[in-house]
Amino acid sequence: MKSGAFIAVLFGLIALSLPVAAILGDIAIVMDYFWNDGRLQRTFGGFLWEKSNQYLLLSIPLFILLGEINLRAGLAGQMYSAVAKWLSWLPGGLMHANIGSSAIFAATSGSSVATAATIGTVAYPEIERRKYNEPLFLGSVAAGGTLGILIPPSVTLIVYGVLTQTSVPELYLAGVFPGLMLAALFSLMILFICILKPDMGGDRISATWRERFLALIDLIPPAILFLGVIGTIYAGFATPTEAASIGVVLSLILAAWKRKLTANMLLEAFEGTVRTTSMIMLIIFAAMILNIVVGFFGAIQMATEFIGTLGLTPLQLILCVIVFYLIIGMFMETFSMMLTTIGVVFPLVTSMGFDPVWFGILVVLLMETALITPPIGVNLFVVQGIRAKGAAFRDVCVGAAPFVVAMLVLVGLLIWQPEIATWLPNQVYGR
Amino acid sequence: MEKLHTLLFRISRLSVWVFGAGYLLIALATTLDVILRNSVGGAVPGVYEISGYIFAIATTWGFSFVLFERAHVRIDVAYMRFGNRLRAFADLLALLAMAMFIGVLTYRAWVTLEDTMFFGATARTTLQTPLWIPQSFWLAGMAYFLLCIVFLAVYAVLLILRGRTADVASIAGIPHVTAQIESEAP
Repeated sequence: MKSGAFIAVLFGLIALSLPVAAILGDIAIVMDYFWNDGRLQRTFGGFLWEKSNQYLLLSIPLFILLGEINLRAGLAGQMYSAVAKWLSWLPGGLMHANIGSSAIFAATSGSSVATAATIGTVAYPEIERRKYNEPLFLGSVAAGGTLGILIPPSVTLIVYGVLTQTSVPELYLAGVFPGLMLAALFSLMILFICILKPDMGGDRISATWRERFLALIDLIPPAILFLGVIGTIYAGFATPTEAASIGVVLSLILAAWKRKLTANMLLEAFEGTVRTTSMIMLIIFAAMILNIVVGFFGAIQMATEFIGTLGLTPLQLILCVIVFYLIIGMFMETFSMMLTTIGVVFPLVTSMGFDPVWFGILVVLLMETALITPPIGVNLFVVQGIRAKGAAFRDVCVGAAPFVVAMLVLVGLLIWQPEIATWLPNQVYGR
Repeated sequence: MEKLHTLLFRISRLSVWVFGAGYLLIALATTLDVILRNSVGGAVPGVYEISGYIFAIATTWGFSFVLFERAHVRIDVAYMRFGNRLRAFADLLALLAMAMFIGVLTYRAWVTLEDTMFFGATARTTLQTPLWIPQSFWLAGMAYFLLCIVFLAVYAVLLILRGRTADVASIAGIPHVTAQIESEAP
């Protein structure tokens, strides 16, 4: 009963459009004040200081800075045309390049929004030039962008790792196969649609093998970044935070080489970095404080026992969790969605014997779905923002729908064969 | 009021530039540290510790910048359907809710700093940094954030009293959803 009221209040305040961080923080303060004489509040100061300089969290601003510099260094344009030369002979043409270059960009960026914005800006002019079906084309950009948080390095997986004390390197490895499979499923979906309705596909681009191999040169910068960041983690040279630092230095060098490194560009990158980092950190702080308070009242145990009395099988539980996330994902921004719920959902799911690394990948996949489901889907907004003014938002939502189906297929596969996520980390870490 | 608004924003933006450069320095120093450690076995002294302090301070100073950029996440499902006047009140309520949360945090951070000074606490590292130094800057960022929230709340009340409810959105509203590209939420 109490937890029902708690959730009602939570969603009521969210509907009032109060800041998510303030909602979480204020609920924690009020609960502690009325039912605990404000005793837990005394620990907040020391707790915050300790979390404020936690070394793993430091990787968040560094990965964001890396993305901000890449975004402004103009690496995306050449990379896009290189990928286009390899993939655009398929039915669906450049839409496969949208997916492919998103996957590659995702391997150098930890953010879905940055990925969609970068690829979208490069790809958008092609719609008119080559007569693509605009909704589907935009949908492929929005969906491709979501790969940013699944394919490592991913800022989202770091936050999940910090909140649930799961190993970030293992999460990164676990994201590789699902990420590649999702990209492949997206492409299959495009192929399928364009074979059924060839007029949606636009012009194909043919390239000679010579052009294709020459274009590979343009893929060297992202390859260097990927090896510098991910390679150093698994070679044992660097922790995720150190790898992010190396990534920042490499992207600076690449930007300088492209002659895009200016003081103004750096200041813009700094503003973008601090804006995103502080926005995320405030919600993280609030969620952590709320988790302390909620944990103190034994709410998690109560929830676990309550679920126990329902007699759900693990499969039924996980299906409930998925439906729950799909629904709130329509209305909530993804970070807030994970941070407000993971404190209760994670212990529940692991108590049923699910693997924390596997569940991390599942949650990220559901967050990706949330990014492209209306009415609130951040990637849909990003893509809509790239379009010429006055076009209907509905188009983008319709175009993204087939890719939601592809994501749900992968969710199903992940439940059926958990090894898709866990095999690679198990091989490397020999669990 | 407008001049004060601009001044507070400029201070906030200046801190962002400074701490953004701080992140860049962290990246450079850490990379150097990794290279040294894996080649000659040396290290850049104190990188690990000082990076943590810069991160903590940059985060709290960034809060006010996020506030001015109106980028603290708010869910706008209902907000989109509000009229101007209702939006102005929702914006004011949002500021007050934030003021309550940050008020408590700032007070608790202040008590933590007091304890640190009272016990003369130092970091358990070779540097033995007196912790009051980074904690003061950290607290200052939080306090500045609180100051800016209170200022915006007063500003919003004045605007509402003068009947300029439409203008409240420009200082405290939710930027139009399509403008979120710049906000780079990952």
